Amino acid sequence: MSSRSLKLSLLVGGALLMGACGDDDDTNLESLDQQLVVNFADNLVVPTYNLLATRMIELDAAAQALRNAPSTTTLKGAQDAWFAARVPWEQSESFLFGPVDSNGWDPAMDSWPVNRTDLDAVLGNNDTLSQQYVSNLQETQKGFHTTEYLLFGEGQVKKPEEFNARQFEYLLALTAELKAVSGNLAASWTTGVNGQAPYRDTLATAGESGNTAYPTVEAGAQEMLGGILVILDEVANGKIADPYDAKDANLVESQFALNSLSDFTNNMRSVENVYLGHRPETAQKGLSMSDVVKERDAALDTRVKAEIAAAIAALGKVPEPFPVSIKDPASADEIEGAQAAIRKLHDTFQVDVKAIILP
Amino acid sequence: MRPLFLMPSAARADEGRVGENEKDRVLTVGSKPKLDLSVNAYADLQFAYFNYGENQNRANGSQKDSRLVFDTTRLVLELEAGLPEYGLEAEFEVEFEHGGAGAAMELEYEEFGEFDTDVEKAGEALVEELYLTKKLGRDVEVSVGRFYVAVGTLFADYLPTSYLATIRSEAETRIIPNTWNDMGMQLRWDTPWGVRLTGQVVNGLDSTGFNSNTWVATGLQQRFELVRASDLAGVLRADVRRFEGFNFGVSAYYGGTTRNRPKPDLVKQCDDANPNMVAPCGYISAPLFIADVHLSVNRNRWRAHAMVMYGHLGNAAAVSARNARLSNLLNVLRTPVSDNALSAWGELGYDIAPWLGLDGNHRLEPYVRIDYMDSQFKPRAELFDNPRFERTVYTVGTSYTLAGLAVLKLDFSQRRMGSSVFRPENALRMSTGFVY
Repeated sequence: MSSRSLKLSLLVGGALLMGACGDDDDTNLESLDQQLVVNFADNLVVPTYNLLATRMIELDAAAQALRNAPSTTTLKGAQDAWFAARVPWEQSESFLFGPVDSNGWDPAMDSWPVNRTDLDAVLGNNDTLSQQYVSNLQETQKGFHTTEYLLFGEGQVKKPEEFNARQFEYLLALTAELKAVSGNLAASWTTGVNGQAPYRDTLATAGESGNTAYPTVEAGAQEMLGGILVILDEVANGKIADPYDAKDANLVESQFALNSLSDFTNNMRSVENVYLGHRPETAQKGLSMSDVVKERDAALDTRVKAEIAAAIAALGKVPEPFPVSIKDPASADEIEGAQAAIRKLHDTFQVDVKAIILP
Repeated sequence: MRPLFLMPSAARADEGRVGENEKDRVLTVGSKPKLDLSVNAYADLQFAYFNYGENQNRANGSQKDSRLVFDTTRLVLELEAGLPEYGLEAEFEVEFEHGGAGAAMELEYEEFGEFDTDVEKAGEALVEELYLTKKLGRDVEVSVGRFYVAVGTLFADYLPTSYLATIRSEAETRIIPNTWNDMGMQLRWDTPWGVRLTGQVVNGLDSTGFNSNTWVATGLQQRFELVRASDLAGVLRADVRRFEGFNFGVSAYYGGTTRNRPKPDLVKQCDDANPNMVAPCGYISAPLFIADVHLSVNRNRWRAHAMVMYGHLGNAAAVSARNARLSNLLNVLRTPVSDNALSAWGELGYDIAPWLGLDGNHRLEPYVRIDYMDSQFKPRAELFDNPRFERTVYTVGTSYTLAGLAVLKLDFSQRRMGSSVFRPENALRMSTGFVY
C-alpha cells in the first residue's frame, strides 16, 4: 500500500473521529487500514509456514538418506536440514497465535527442555515406533529437540556409526510427524484443516462484518502486537533468563546442536519481519506496522528499527556456546546486555508502539 | 426463631459425628412445621517439607530441593435443615480451598517441559453438596441435587478424622476427582440384611480434562457455569454394614464423557451430513467404567482402610487425538490419556493412648500407609507406557485425635516411580484440623 493511500485512510478515520467528537469523549483515533493485516498474513505468515513445511519435507528426506546410507556426509546433510528448518520456525515465533496455538502444534513441535530419561525409555522399549506412536508421546518426547538429540548427541558429538536401528526408527517417526504437523500448520492458514476456514481469511478480513474473531482491524493489529510482545518477553525472561539464572544448561533450548543463540537471533528477526511486513528474502509489498508508525511518529519508527538492530547485535556478542557461557562469569555482561536490549525493545513495543498503533 | 427442644438430626451418608447432637435444633415458626437444623464444619491445614523440586518432568525425575509449603487446604461449612414431619431434609456444603477464591498463577511443568504459567482457579469456593432428600419409609430415601459420587472411599470417609494420614489417599485422588461430586438423583436403601445399596444417576465427566498424569481426575466439570449432562453416568454401590466396626463393599461407575465436552468436537464423519444439525453423524463415544472394592475398619483400637480401583476408558485414542488439538484457552493438559488405570491403597493404625494412661477422649495412632497408582496401566499399543506415571508411596506416621473433634498428624512419606531411574521423592507433613 502506498504512503498516499495510508494518508487517505488516516484522513478518513480522522474525519470520522472529528464528526463523532461532539457527542463522544472516547479518544479513539484513526482507524487502521485492513491492508496491514492482509499484508501480514499473505506476505509473512503464509510464506513463513510454507517455508517451514518445505524444510520439514527436506529434513525428513535427509533423515531417510541418513538411515539408508549412514555416513559423515548424510549425517551432516540431516543436521544441516535440521538447522535449516529451525530458521523459519524460530522466525514464526512472533506470531504464535491462531491454529499453531489452538491446535497445540507449538508444544508438539518445539517443547524444551526434552526429558532425556523419557527419550531413553522410548528407545529402550520394544514398541513399534510409527508416526502415530510418536504423535501420542508427551510433548517433551517428540518434536524439534528430540530430533536434535538423536541427530547431534550432546554437544554435536554424534557420529554416523553410533546410530542403531532403534534410533533410526525413532528419528524417522519423528521427522514424519514433524512433516505432518508443519504441513497441517501451513494448510491451516491457506486451505483450512479439520473443517475450519483458512486462518488467513479469518485474519485478513479483520474489521469486516461477520468476523467475530477480529471485529476490527485494530483487533488484528493487537494480535500482531501481542505476538511480538510474547516472544520478546519469552527470549529475555525465559529462554535466556531461565538457564542463566539457574546456571542450568539443561534448560537451554537447542542445547544438543548448540544452536541457541541462532534461535534467539531468529526470534528477533521474527519481530523485525512482523514490523517491516515482509521476510528478509522478499521485498515489501504492502502496508507494514513500520509504515503506520512512521506515518504517525517517524522518530519512533527509527528508534524501533535501531532497537531491533541493537538486540540482534547484543545477542551476537554473547560467546558461544550458550550452555557454557551461562556459567562463565566472563560472559555475564554480554548475556545481561542482550537481555537488557531485548527488554528495552519489548518496552518500546508495549508502551510507545502500542500507543501509536492502538491509541 | 426460638429453640424449643433438642433432637437428633437425620442420619447422613457419613453417619453421626461426635459432638453433633448438641448442636441440633428443632424449631417451629408460627404455625409452620418443625424445622430440624444442624450446622457442621471441618477444616484442614497442612505444613509440608519436600526434598524434591516441583518439576517432576526432569531427566531422572524431580531435582533435589529443600522447600516448605504451607496450605490452608480446606474449610468446609455444612448446613443441614430438615422438616421431620414431612421426611424432608436439605443439605448444603460449601468448601473453601486454599484459603479463598479467585485466580492464581501456576507453574505447569507436565505438558510442555518448559516454564509455562497458567491462570486457573486455585483458591476456590465450591458448592460440593446441595441436595434435597425425601425419606420413603424408614429405610429408603431419594435425593436430588449435587452430592458425592458413590465411588471409592472418599464418598464416606472424607473428614480429616476419617483417615489416618495427613492427606487423603493419593492413589484415589490422582485418578478420580477428589471428593467427586456431581449432580443428579440418588436412591438409597438400607436392606434388612445389613447391606446399604446406593444407586445414582449423575452428569458424566468432560473428557477434555483427561490426561496422562491424572487420568480422569481432572474431568470434573468446573470450568463453565453450566454443567453438561448430555452424557449421563450410573453408579451402583453396595456396602455391607452388618458387622460392627467393619464396612466393606463394592462400587461401579459407568457413563459417557464425549457429549459433555465444551464443543461438539469428537464426532463421527459421514457423507450425507445435515449441516443444520449438531453432530449429524453422531458422536464418538468414550465410555468410562470404574469399579472398586473398599474396606473400612474401626474396631476397638484398630483402624484401617483399603481399596483397589480399576478404570477403563473406551476410545481413549480418539479422545487423546482430539485433546492434543485443544485450545490453550481451555487450560487443560493435552497429554494422551491411557485406556486403563489402576490404583490401590491401604492404611493401618493402632491406638496406643491407653498404654500411655490417656482416657477415652484421646486416640494416639501410629500408622502405616501404602498408595499405588498407575495412570497409564496397560495402555493401547501405540501409547508409550511411561514409568513416570506409575507411583508407589510409602508412609509412616502418627495421628492424634482429641474427642473425635481435633486432629494433629505427622507423617513421613516416600514416593517411588515405576523406574529406578527416577529419584524417589520424600515429604514430611504435619496437618491439623477439626471436625465439628
